[in-house]
Amino acid sequence: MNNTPVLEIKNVSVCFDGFYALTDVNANVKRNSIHFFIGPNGAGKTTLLDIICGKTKPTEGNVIYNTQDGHSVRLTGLPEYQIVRHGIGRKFQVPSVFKSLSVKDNMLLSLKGHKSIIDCIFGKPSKEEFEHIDYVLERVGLKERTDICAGTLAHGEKQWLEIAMQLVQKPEIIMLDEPAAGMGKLETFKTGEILKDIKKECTIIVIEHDMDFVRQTADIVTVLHEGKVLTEGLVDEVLANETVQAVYLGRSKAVS
Amino acid sequence: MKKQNICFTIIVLILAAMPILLQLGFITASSTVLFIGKCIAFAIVAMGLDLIWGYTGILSLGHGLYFALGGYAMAMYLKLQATGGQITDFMHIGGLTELPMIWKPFLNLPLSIIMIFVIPAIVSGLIGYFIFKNRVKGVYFSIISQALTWAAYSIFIALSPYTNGNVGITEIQTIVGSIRGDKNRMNMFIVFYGALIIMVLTYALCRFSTSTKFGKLLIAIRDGENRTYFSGYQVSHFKTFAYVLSAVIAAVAGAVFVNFNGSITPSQMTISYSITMVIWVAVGGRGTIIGAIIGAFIINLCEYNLSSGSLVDIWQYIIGLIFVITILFFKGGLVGLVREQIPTFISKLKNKSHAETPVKSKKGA
Ligand SMILES: Nc1ncnc2c1ncn2[C@@H]1O[C@H](COP(=O)(O)OP(=O)(O)OP(=O)(O)O)[C@@H](O)[C@H]1O
Ligand SMILES: [Mg+2]
Repeated sequence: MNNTPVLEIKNVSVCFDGFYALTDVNANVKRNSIHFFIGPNGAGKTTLLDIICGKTKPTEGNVIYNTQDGHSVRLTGLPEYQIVRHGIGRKFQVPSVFKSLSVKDNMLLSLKGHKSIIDCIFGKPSKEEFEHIDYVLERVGLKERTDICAGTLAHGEKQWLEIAMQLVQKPEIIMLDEPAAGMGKLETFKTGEILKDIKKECTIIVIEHDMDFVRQTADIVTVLHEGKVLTEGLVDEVLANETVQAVYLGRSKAVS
Repeated sequence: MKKQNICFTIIVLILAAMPILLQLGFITASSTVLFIGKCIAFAIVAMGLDLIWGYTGILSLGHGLYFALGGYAMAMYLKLQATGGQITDFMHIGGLTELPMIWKPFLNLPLSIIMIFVIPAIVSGLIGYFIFKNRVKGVYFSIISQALTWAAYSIFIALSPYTNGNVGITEIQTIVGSIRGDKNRMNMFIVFYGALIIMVLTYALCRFSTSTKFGKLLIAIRDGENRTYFSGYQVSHFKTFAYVLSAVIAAVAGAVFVNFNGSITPSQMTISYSITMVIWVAVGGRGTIIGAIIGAFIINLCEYNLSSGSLVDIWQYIIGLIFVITILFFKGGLVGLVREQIPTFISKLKNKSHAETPVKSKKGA
């Protein structure tokens, strides 16, 4: 396995009408790791994901994606659908599934490839693809819910479905914005186990506030604060760091 | 859903019976059949509108433009048939001495039919491409669609030597010749059944395209456009394609309409005419092809029967009220009412009576 970081975030700054949401952010994401970005509200975590997936253009800096076979792709400047086609998927902070479609249709639309109009009109998914969908749904525990309308799923199930929709694309990188938000302890734990299971196949970038969840799953943690990288390292080191604790002061419950 | 197809078949059978009923004397006026022919055209445009609004969630308030483009293309051919390929009166009055270039293709039927498809496809393709590429959506799209329709209306009025301005293109017959009077009844039936076949084909096209992955993607765009982008689709292309498809369907409807109406005027491309089309779809039930058809027929039949009597002055208000009530309380329109609201209501009633029965039996015991 090659050791180059799968994602290199280089000197990224983002300015919204004079307000710097991110300032000179640098970070490398290791292949097949679960990399957490944490930080207080408004730290710029979501903005960072927006930059990676092409939703927002950085004022300065670049994001480089290194493929398995050693190519480098500059993501900055590519339209989002092309970034997705490179294998970089994203789950949003607000769960967003296609609520009037069934769980299965949600998955069908998320399959890798067949994204052109012609394919969509005349193409039929293959047997392997259906099996793959079943397999992925099984892994996130939604196998029994295949034909249910996605809008009627419970909140936690919607989150898992959205994760499954990323997984079914056989992605290289999955980015999850607060996947455990609004979940109970048990569901959160289960989500963590799902993530650990899928990191064998891809790299996972997670934003999360729940520190138990971070401890459970994180390989590496980067702390953002007011748009800057505060520190980066292994979970315990980072959480023991005094500056980090100071930043989270008033959120002491989270760091406890 | 199978039920939709059954329902559609019933509607088609009823429509197919109309000329026969006229022949047998159950319908007294042939104008009734002509009117139902127009309703068929309205049902066609409603299906197109439903694709873009009901399925994709893009509210176009300017589909009258495409309806009229198709209508004018048809009317120009028919007008030249009437004049024998000669320059028309209004061109003379407008100071033209020979047939203008833009009229030339309409000397020929196959070319005219191609124009019915190509012109709206190009116009909607250009409009859609630029609007959707720049991610204009929601109300902003609706407003732009209105503005463009208004602009087109003004152009058609201003270019009166070519379009006959306000008056529009009149004194035309149909694609098979005159359909007025008893001796031309056969022609009328041909036109009527021709229109019916076009409606069936449009229905089949809409049903097919919405049942494929393409159709599901349109729904996905409606439900969560962002998610669709991040599933790797070039959403703007899909939107443009759906928009063009619906514009072409509207144009075909316009061409059918002209055959029954005997004229086309710029009033068919006004904003209010466009909004009326939206009302048909809303009342029938957006997001179901059959709903669009039902809506178009019901509203127009009501209008035909009610607006001639004492209700003529307040008809516009009635229709406005129906629209508002639908939007506020019956989002799924009539189809939604039959499919969801009534069943839930009935099951509620059942639950109630179920809850009551054990109480009664206890009393008995
Ligand atoms: N489109 C935008 N225009 C202007 N300001 C923005 C925009 N998007 C984000 N911001 C600002 O940038 C800052 C960082 O926002 P961001 O959403 O990245 O924070 P976050 O770390 O994800 O916070 P949270 O934990 O609440 O999700 C915030 O102060 C926010 O108000
Ligand atoms: Mg956020």
